[in-house]
Amino acid sequence: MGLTDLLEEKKVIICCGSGGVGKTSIAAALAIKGAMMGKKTMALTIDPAKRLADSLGLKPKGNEETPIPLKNLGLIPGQDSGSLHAMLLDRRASWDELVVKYAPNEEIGKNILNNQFYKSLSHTFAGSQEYLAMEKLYDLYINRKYDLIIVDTPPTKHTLDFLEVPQRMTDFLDRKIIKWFMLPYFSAGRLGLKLLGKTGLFIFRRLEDATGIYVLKDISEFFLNLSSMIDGTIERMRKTSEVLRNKQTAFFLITSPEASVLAEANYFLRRVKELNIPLAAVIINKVNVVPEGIVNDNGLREIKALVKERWGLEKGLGERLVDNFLQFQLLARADKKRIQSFKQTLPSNQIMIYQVPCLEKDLHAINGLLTLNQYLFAGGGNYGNT
Amino acid sequence: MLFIIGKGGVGKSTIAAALALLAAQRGKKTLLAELDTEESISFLFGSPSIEKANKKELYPGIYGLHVDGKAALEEYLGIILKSQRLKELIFRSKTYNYFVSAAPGLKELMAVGKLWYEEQLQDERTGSPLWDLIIVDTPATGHALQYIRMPKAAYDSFATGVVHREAKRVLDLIADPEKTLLNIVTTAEEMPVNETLDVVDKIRKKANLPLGYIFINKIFTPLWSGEMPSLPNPYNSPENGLLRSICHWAEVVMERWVRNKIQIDRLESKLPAPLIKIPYIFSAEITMKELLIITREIESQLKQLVISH
Repeated sequence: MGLTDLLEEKKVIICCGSGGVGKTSIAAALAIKGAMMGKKTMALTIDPAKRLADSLGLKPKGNEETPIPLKNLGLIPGQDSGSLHAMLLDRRASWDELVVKYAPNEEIGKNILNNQFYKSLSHTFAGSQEYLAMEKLYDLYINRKYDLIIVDTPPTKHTLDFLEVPQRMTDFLDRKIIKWFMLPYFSAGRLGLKLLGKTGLFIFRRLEDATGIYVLKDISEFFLNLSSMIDGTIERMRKTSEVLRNKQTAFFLITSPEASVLAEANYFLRRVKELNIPLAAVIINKVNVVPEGIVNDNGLREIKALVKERWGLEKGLGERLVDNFLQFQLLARADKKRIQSFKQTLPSNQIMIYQVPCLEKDLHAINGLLTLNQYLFAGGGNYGNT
Repeated sequence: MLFIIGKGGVGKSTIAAALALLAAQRGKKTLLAELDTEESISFLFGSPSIEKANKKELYPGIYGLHVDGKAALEEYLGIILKSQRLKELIFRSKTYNYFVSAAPGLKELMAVGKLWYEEQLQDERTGSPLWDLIIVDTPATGHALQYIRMPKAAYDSFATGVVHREAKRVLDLIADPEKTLLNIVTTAEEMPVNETLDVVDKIRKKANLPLGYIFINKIFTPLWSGEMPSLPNPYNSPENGLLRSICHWAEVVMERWVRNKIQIDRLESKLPAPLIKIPYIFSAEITMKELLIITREIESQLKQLVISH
């Protein structure tokens, strides 16, 4: 199945991968392609470069569905039905908003926000961005306003963790555990003792002594308040997780051929396997490509002579031009080798691999995105393991 | 203690390793600690990977450590809880796992606490500090800041007790400009530079921690000076693809150079910290040879900075 088929068939495409690989640009390019194919397309993005946001006409104001008229981009869609919207997720959106949103009433929300334990620790919690991105995706998905939603994920290797969030939250917020945490507050009433048992209580006390986290009043209060907003939240998380795993969703892994980035891509692949995620394509961006090279010393002498003859440059400059080329040729060969061995590690031959060369011109302008699409959609990809 | 912070893919581990080499060359016993779920620093030294929570000599004078929060917590509790039976009982119990996962930031706090612990270690014979220098390679920025902010958060959250006391000690260490510097690695590209400016602001104004050096990594510079050499119609040599390629890659390097310069200017005009500029190293992979080139580059620029100040 090629990329065009994937865009035709799927309703949600999630682009994940490390930072700096051009994920946001690729997500934007895919969205433009979707719109051109006649789909009502939404691009959900996190942190676009200023020039990309500018050239799409995206305003910095977050969390709003912004129409991007294709005509403004100088594009004429293949079918009239095609349209493009984008939404910029607010980077500063925090757990505070979630608390306000899900608290059953204003008072409980306020209690949580004013809780000392919550206050000092909430800004160190990881994952609020990932969680909010998925929340928005779910909203947009059940809204059914769009045929295709392209999601650009935050640039961390923990992006996929959100798939585990529902289960983890369920475990974590299990009523029993919450009661344990309320124990000290209720000075280990009869109910608490029964729940914990002698050993449990003993261990708990020891841990408190050892860590000093035995001023649990705040924590108890926090969980007490939190327990009132759990049910709805977990239910939503579970539904979001279902959307992410259903047949109309595809994950794309975006990477570059750099050694450290491919190492992270391998980490992603392991997580993909563990979490049983439907990975459909791998896009290797920013590949150094040298189609024709200098193979040996003989060739090197010949080309240096040719440069001298044709260009007649001042002393040494011609040689430096050739040396510059040799440097990139070295990179290109190394990229090729690394990509080759990366392909071997791909889990199945169901995953399409696409390579996009390093494009020097400004990728953030619309023309840059269209050039990206030429590489993604014209040539077609190939499978790993083959 | 030198923290190395930066966006993913900018070359944090490379710079951390090059700094460790520089220190080792000057006879300093150096601990190179990596705070991440996956360890990658051993690879640069061509060494087999380091087991979690273990130290390993990577190079004469450089010891690698893979810091893991949970292992550090167990080590810490192991010191506090004297009885072996009690330890086993606790570590095997479900309650313990709930406790660890329910106390947010505890793992991060313990990881930073482990660094504090290493800083305090003394050589048994001489009584002087075991490590002359500790270099900390952190995960991508957002997560790195969680680690660095954790001691303050814990200190504020828990008014008494051991955690409060420990957090205070760690905080005293990382906030002391005589002992600790937070250094940032970036490339001269728009997004990493945006993030660098943002992080510098957070470090200086919000967290009030000592800012050190900014390393600008992977800078492209043409092998010739100044403008693109004017070539007599290179694209009119259709019979020779190689000439076209040579011309193309000359243009590429010029383009990257210009783009890099714009971002370096942004950093220079907006940042209060000293900048160290590292050229792009054209190589199939970063090995000891490349690390040594970077080490020499850092060394000479540090010397210049000292002279000019």
